[in-house]
Amino acid sequence: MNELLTTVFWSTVTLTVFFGWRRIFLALKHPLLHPILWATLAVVLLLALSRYPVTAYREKSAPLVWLLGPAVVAMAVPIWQRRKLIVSNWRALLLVVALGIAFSAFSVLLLGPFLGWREAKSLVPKSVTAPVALGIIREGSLGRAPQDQLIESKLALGIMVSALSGAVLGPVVLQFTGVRDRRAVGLALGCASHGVGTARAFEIDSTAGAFASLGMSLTAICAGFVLPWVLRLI
Amino acid sequence: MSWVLLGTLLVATATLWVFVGHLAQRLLRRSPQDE
Repeated sequence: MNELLTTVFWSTVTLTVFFGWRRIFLALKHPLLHPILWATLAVVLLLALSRYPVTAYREKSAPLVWLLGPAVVAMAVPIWQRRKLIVSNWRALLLVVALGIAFSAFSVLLLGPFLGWREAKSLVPKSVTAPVALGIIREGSLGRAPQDQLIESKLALGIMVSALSGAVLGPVVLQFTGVRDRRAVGLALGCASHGVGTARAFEIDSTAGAFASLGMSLTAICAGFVLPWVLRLI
Repeated sequence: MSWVLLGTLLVATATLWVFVGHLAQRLLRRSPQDE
């Protein structure tokens, strides 16, 4: 199979699996059937069964990865539409984001005696979007040496769990615990479950989506400044 | 060990949703829902 055909094949497989699961999800409306989880697992299973390398799959699905750029930029549109509401609440929003980062870091560090301090430290930026989170642990003097690949893979696991669980369980847990305000739901999903949580918030409505985008962006900016410094201190 | 890690990560993430959700709901209570 030549290069172009392989690219078309894996992109088509990925889209077919995703939209197939999406149809099931929309038909049954059960949160545990969310396609972001099951389509990911199905593609992983297909890669494992066909013994196709993940790095090659990533290369061949480049057209889909490229679409992530415009999708992220499009998330700014609902924020712009609600700019007056956001500006009038800027103190509250910054406080929520700052306390969210502190709570996330503290809750992970509490696991230090069970997981080991180095592992717990590596999970501190798990609720930050992946590229920024990897930068944080490198700046925080973790994950620099070749033997620190394990640290990065633990963080990758933490990021994936935060993201996928946000899509599958986040809205259910928030509703069950009495969080009804769509802005609060959006902020919770954006601050804790970054990109995937934000995409899930947009499925609720555009207000939740706008606040999730804002929560994710502010968390990435603030954590990018603060967490490397915290990691070097502890 | 990895199942324990998975479980603890899930619990940590869920408590973060609830913390941020309730805090945001309380702080944004007085402002209008949307424009």
